[in-house]
Amino acid sequence: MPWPAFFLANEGYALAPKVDEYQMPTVWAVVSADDLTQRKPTKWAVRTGWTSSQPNHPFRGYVVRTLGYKKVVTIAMDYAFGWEQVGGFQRTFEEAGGQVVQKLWPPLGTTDFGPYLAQIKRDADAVFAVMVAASSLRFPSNIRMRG
Amino acid sequence: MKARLPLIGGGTTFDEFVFPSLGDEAIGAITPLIYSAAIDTPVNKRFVKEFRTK
Repeated sequence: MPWPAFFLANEGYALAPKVDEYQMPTVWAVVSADDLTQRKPTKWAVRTGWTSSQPNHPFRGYVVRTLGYKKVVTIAMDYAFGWEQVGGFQRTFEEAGGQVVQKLWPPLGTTDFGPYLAQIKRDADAVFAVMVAASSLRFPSNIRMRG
Repeated sequence: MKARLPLIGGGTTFDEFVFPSLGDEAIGAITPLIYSAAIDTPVNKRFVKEFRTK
């Protein structure tokens, strides 16, 4: 599957220093990499989209209080976006009394999750998944086949 | 040990653009995201309608 330019978080991190070097005004509609507006803000970028970790901060309250999950296994694409999404969830989930008991990191573009699903700790309350693109299409049926 | 672990996750895991390509395996999964076209408010319904006719 071809990736549109300016799409993935790691592409954003790669391009950001050049945008500043060339002082080129840019609009970032999709790239959600946290640090582009946080720890390493890019002067010449305006972000109209979102931040990777952002939706997962309020989600912790729902997971702990409404769903009642205390122990969660994460499985996420092994790149900036996956790390930031899991980071945002883990930080706030554990502040709320939950615990991430295992973290699995399949590479970007994985479509066969068998080796990863076999490792999941079965005494967890739930699986927290971060998939993108082709992996979003394959992961749900992969995990449901394995239970 | 549970027969089937509940599935939660990041919003792109069950993106609305992915739904048409998925079957029943998506049922029951819960994920947060910054926006959903399915938000059931008069303002959003109008926005979605106008966006799609553009």
